[in-house]
Amino acid sequence: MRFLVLGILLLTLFVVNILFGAIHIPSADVLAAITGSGEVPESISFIIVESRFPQALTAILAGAGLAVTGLLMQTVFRNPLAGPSVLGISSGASLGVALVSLLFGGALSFGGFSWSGNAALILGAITGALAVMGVLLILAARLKNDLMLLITGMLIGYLTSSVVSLLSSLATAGSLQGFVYWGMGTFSNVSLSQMPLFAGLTIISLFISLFLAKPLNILLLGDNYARNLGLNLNRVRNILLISTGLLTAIITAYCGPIAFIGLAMPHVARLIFNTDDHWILIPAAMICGAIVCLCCNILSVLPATVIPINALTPIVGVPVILYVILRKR
Amino acid sequence: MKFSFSLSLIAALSLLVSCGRGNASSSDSSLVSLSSSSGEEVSLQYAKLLKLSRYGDITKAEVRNPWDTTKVLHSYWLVPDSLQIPRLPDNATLVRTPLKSSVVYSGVHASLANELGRLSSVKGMCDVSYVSDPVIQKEIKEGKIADCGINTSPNLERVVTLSPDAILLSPYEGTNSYGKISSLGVPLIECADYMEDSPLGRAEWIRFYGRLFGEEAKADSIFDAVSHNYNNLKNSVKDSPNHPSVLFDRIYGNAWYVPEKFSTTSRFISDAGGLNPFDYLAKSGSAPLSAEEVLMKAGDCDFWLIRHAGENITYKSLDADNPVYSKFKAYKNGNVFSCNTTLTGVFDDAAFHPDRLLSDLVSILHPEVLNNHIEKDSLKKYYYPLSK
Repeated sequence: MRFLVLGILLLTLFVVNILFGAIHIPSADVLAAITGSGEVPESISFIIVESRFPQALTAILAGAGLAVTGLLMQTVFRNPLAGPSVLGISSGASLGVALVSLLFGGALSFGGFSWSGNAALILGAITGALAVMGVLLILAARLKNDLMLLITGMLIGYLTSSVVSLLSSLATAGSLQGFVYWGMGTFSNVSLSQMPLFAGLTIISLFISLFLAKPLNILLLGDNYARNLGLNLNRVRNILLISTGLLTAIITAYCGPIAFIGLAMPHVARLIFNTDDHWILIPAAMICGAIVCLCCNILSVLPATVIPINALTPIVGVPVILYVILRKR
Repeated sequence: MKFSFSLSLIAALSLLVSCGRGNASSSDSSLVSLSSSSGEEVSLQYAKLLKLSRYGDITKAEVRNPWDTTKVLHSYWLVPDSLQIPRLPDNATLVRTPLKSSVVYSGVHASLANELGRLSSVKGMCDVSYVSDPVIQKEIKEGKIADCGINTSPNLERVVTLSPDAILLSPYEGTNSYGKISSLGVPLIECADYMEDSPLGRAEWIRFYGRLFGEEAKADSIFDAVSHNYNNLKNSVKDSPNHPSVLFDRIYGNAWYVPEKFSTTSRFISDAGGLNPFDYLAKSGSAPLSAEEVLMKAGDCDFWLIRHAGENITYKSLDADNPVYSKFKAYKNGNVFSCNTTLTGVFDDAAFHPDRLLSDLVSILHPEVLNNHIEKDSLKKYYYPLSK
């Protein structure tokens, strides 16, 4: 029942995101643009099909991905305030983008190929995030303790942040502008032609995370109990690193470092369903994340102005976190 | 007490002699005339935030608060080294001219000092990585101009060792203090020129800086030439039957920052005989709009000028960046131009030589004017047609 209500809410918000935006477009035109029937100006058709549709879809996928990442992190590290950024993977993406935009002048070339603009930023972000993920995977084999892995992730985060600060202080005003805007977050960077790649990678990573539902439920009983039940903790940890790492890398690359969704949405899912069962929590967190991101997306494109996504997500995230802290007090 | 009074008397008398004007017959009245508004106002035609008054060889410069123009941000008394220091009003800042050792926060002021032939008096600079002027770059490289860090937190020790006689910095809204730098006892010249809403208004500040660097006549003649050229160009396109619309820049993050009606960019467009599709936004900055709103409001623009730093952009790279770009008429008609702000130094030039930028804009929007009013060889290019 609760899934049904959330599902209807998600669908409604998706339709709202297609119908409303910075420009008023009559519903009949929206419908005509989608079905391809009737006379609709090219610009209107473009706005509906190639701007609002991929943007709403990106918001859904990014919201779902970040929320699941947060949930997995919180369970494995037994820390209610863990999120996609704790392992330093999003900081790795930031470092990649900083290197591309601040050091290489916004363009990359390698082996006869060259990338510029958004493509270069995305490539930089994915490379940075995957590099950090690789380092963590190597260290995970040596570190037997989850807490140590968490601390290592945070240390990597601090290290990348310091390099980003250094690069920022040496950069030119123009390139700094590009980097700062990337950091504000957006769901509008994924074009319709890029959608298959973005959606494909996100959905595969989300699918991998579903494999973790059962081991995560066992983990809730404690490490020793889980071992006794035959759970290979190292394997679980590696799958977790790969699925959360991929999700964080791909979402951060395309949308920028979106704050608070991963941290707050698992708690919202727990509050709504009042359960610790990951078979329920994983899909619930996905839907909650998607709903909130759709809300933020529609609020970000009000007429005559644009509000960065990262200015909106804390408005939702902070009250939730405060509630959790006060409840656990 | 008696001694200081005598000093004041001497200073006032010397001032009277050098002025050779005024009706003051005693030293006391000359002191009064210095502190009151009886100076001879230097006529400024365009600058709204600056007022210059002449008291003989002494100049009073009053900078209005750009964020509350009913208030004065700072008053300066520019007293030539050759004169003794007169008694000044309590709230005044004394600056001895010409400046011999200054620290500037912005490259535009260093370039201007160079143009006035007084670069040797610039000893330190902030934000050296933003400098695009090759002459200034060379001076920095040779160590003649010291790197004083970033403008929001300058390297205090470096500044102190330079013993500057003035620090030229840019005021920001809500900034009441400049930190420790304001406790050095060195006059802080608040260069609010960038807040002027018209290109010539900003350029007219040359006259203030000229007086600071002791190059008054040169500065006045530079500005006269700039305003003459600018107005000539503006008039040459004023009566043109054709006013093409111009779109600026592109998407950053999730917003497209467009120039509002009273912004400098919008003034440049209208003075170049063009139309700004966002003139309905009656403010003086830039507004963040969504790509779809820009497409609806400016999709039919005749020209599209993109300012960028770093990598080169082409029609192909624009399309790869965001498919919305290819929906604009200017894109389809091949009327997109780009300006590399780092390589061309457009922001530096536009500050005090807006005529150069205007001539480039006119050459794009009104090429028919080119032969009559612009000497093609003297034209400095900032915007280049985008390659495929």
